[in-house]
Amino acid sequence: MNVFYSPLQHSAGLASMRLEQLNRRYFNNYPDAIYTIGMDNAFHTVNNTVCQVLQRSREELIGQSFSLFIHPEHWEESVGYFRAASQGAPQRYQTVVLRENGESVFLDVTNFPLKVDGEMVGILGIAKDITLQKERERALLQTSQELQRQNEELELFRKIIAHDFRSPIARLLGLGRLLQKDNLPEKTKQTAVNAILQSAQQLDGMVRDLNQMLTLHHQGDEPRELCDVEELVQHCLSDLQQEINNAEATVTLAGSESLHLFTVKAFLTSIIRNLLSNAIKYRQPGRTLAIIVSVEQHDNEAVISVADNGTGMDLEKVGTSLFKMYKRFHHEIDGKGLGLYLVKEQVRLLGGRIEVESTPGAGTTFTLRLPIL
Amino acid sequence: MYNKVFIVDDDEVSIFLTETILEAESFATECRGFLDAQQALQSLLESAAGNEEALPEVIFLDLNMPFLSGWDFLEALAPYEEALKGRCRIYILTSSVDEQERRRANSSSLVAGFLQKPLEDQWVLQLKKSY
Repeated sequence: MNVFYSPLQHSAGLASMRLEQLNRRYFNNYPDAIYTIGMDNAFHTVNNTVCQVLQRSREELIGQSFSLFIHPEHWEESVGYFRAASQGAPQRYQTVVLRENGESVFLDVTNFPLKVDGEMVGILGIAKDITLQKERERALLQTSQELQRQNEELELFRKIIAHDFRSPIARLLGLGRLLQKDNLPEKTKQTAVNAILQSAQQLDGMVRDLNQMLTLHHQGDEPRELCDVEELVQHCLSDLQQEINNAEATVTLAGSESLHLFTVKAFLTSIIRNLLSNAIKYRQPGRTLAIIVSVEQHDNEAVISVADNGTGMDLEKVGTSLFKMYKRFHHEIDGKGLGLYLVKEQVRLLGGRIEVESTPGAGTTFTLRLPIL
Repeated sequence: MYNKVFIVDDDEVSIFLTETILEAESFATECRGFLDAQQALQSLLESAAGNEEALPEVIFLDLNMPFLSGWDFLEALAPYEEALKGRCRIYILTSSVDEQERRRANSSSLVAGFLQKPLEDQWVLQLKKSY
């Protein structure tokens, strides 16, 4: 009997061959990572995209446990998801894998249970690289947080204009009108003229402060440089020499440890100058002002403290308002109220923190902690 | 002419201005300026508890003050509203142009009026007429 191949049979074979090849090509070149993992946790097959995502060759992956490539922080949950899928329940989740060079890749993973003849043999998985999407999400979150902060500041500025700027303006208007009156006693006239000058100076100071503050907010990546903290404190002290002399204050620089910080010099100078200037401003009448500035290093932090024996404050009363704008806590002392707000903002921009301890009648200590990079 | 007027303001120049205008209009026999709101409050609370004759007839109250704001001041006086009624009128005198504060002041039963600094002669005259 002749062996006869039916044309039908022949073309069916070809078609199945083609489908097999097509499937393989499709599998290998599919833009998402496709893989199978056996019950032993090891990669059984991987397509080209798996190799691209993990930046490893097929040989480096096949037979290796998938968990070797998961970011340690996600290891436990990934193993859990794998177990659930290999027990028959499809899983979809997000995870992070690590490349050999340490780069993280965010993945959106779908794992299906894989059965052969009714028996579980592992999982078939598809993973989509969502790193770009994650980065965009993070950037968006950052932008919206920044926007929210700026909106809060805008409301703050509205309040400053409605309350604080209006105050010296109202005084100037009142004083001007007063001076228009006839028959004003000479003494009243003189007081009014002095008060006009004082109000104008205050307004000028506020405009300058506000300008400095707005400039501060426009800066994001100020150049940092290596600063000798002690030298910087000395510089501030010589700037304030006149005030220190007038107050007959003694200033001691404690902690002779030489400390160098990679920081924004202008900010650190402004912070220290503000703290020193506050100590001088709020001195206790009848007691010689003694200021102790100490510079130390604790672990990875530079600790700079400014301690005085001045009037002090009741921090329970002052509460969280201490570092706010235009909040004043002392009578009869000309405080513009912006100093500590600026200090707080500058400390924030330097990635540090500031603490205050105070006892009414005994003194105040401000402690500034800045990270040593 | 009123007997006694209190001016509660943490700003010295503001007190000077208000006092000078009140004096020029012969507004009151006695004008007392308080830089420290706490002191003014104490004096009021003492008078309200029994010595009502000593209460000032008019108080000019600033809002934005350290430690004790004008709002805190009003809150502390709230329990004595009955004692103050008809004897003591409180006018807010502030440099603020914040509409929210005006609304808040108008909703307070202790507040007789909301005045914006600087104090104007015509307001002083009106207040004098209502004596």
